[in-house]
Amino acid sequence: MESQRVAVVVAAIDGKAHVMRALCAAAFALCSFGARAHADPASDAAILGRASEAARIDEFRLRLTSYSQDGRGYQSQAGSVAGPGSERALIVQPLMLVGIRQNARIHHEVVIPIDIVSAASANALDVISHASAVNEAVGIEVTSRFDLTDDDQLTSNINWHQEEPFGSGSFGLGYSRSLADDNAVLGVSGQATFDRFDYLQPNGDRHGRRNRSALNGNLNFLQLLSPTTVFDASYGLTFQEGLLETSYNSVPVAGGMSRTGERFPHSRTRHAAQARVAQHIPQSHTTLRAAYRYYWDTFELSAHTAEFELHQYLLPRLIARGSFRYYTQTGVDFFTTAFSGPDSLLRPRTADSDLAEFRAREYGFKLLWLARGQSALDVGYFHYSRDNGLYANVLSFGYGGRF
Amino acid sequence: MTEPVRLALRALGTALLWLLLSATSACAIVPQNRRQYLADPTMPAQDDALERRAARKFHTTREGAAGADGKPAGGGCGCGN
Amino acid sequence: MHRVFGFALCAIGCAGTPAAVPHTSANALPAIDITRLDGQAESARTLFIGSVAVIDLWATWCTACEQERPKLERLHAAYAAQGLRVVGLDVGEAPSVVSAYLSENRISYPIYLDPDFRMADALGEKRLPMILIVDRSGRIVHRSPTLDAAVLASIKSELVSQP
Repeated sequence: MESQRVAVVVAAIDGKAHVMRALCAAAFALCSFGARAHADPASDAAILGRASEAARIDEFRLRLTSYSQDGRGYQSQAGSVAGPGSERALIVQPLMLVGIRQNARIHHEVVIPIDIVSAASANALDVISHASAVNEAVGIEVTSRFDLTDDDQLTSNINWHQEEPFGSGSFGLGYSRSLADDNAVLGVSGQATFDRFDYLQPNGDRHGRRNRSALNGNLNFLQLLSPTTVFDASYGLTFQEGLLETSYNSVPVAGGMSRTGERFPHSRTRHAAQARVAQHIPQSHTTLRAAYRYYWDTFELSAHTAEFELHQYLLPRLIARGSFRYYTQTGVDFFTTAFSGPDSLLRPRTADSDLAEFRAREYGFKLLWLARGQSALDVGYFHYSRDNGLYANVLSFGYGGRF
Repeated sequence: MTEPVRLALRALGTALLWLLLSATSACAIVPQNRRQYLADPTMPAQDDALERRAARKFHTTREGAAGADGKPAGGGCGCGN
Repeated sequence: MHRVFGFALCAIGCAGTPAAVPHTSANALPAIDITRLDGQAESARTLFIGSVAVIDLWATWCTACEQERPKLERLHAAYAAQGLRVVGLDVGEAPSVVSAYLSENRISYPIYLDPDFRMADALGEKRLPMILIVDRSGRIVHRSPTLDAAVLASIKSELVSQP
């Protein structure tokens, strides 16, 4: 019995020894691995850094924007039958951007927008669906850039957007070429967008689903005019087809006793051309920026936009920005606030205040704090007002940077 | 249109055309090592992409015009854009 | 109309023409003064003669230059004992700007200044970053916008070669 116990003890010790030897071997192997990894700091791999070849996050940004809107529009039923209704809304929009450097030539940018929209005031009668009372929207946008050569870049983007009655997907491709030692960049891009949404009537009835699509092409050119001046110009062409109206928008009928649904033409071609210039003044640490855009489309809507910004360093790391934007549009040719004609006619009509003739002014102010490295913190506010009865106050906070 | 106005418009048009032509000529005006002011945080190359996106979204959902900024001018939201 | 045409010819004539930056053919390191942070000027040629040197042309506003720096730091740490000199040459900025940058961003190797672009122009270099390998006789044997395996091979080759 004693010998058996000894044998068991010996076997146990032997067993433990095996385990101990195995553990020591493993520890030695791990130490050796670590030691080998650090044994030669003069190796090419150590100097060049294997990590430089691995994917890494090189940009991160967060933004929170709050839009508080009020006003009245004829497309809204939150009012009298013949008159404009409330367009009160509060929209909170968190946004996140992550930049991922896959390798020296490939970079990805992921943007996640979330919209939380409260479209109803306390007395709203415009509750067509839950979506028009409180609406959440979320999406994801992935843009990838491929440096084909030092001068040529290819971009692709895939986007998905979802809100309660509506879903959208789009994809696009672009190409840009640097000219004259990066003094100029010429770019071309295209995008296809497909929307699918509930076909809601102004009375809240839901009649299946409908589609629409858009094809978009853009040309852009950027030129350095001096060590302190940048100029860029662009042109965009868009062709839309499908159910283009907002089906639950309504139009007052002449006589003031009823409303009918909004109707748009089945297609729309849109053009826009824009030019911008930025001028830095080193002596006063100031930057002036100006932009002009002209827009026109087959709905007979044309618009002019002029924007001005003044950026001023208050301290070496603190920048203030003042901005002004002036916008004017003619309105679509089928805008009406008193539709006359048989409802069965598919004649286009809309009372959407966004498509009426109006002028809008926007005044903004922003403070930007440049933190250590390439990160920054900013807070901004702008006030937007249209002369056809809409205004908005927008507050925005942002943080982020590159690393 | 009076003669001074006509002359002024002609001068403005010539200046704009010259600016456009010189801008499209792709002259190598600024060597890479002299671009410190172009890299300033107040210049377009350093614009915050999320701020630009938020502003564009606001304007395209409240106005009839959109486009010429490299982004789609239609669709993508239930906003009547 | 002829004036418009004249403008067009002038503009088109610029197409693809690099900026006329005067420079010397720069296989030899130019005998141009560069400045230390304390303001003392030294001739670049006499500064580097007799040793293998890596000169990094950089600027505080150049983000690509910041991405090269960790590699240069590791190179300096690995080969300083073998006589390799790693030097940063800031191009086109005032000493106060560089000093402010260095107070927040420690760099282990020496920094010199070329505030008026005299050295950069003499080297014919308009790009940033730009890494130059200089042999013991003051001759530039390799140029690269990034520290890569080819640059390391050139450095090691110069270090083992006879002066």
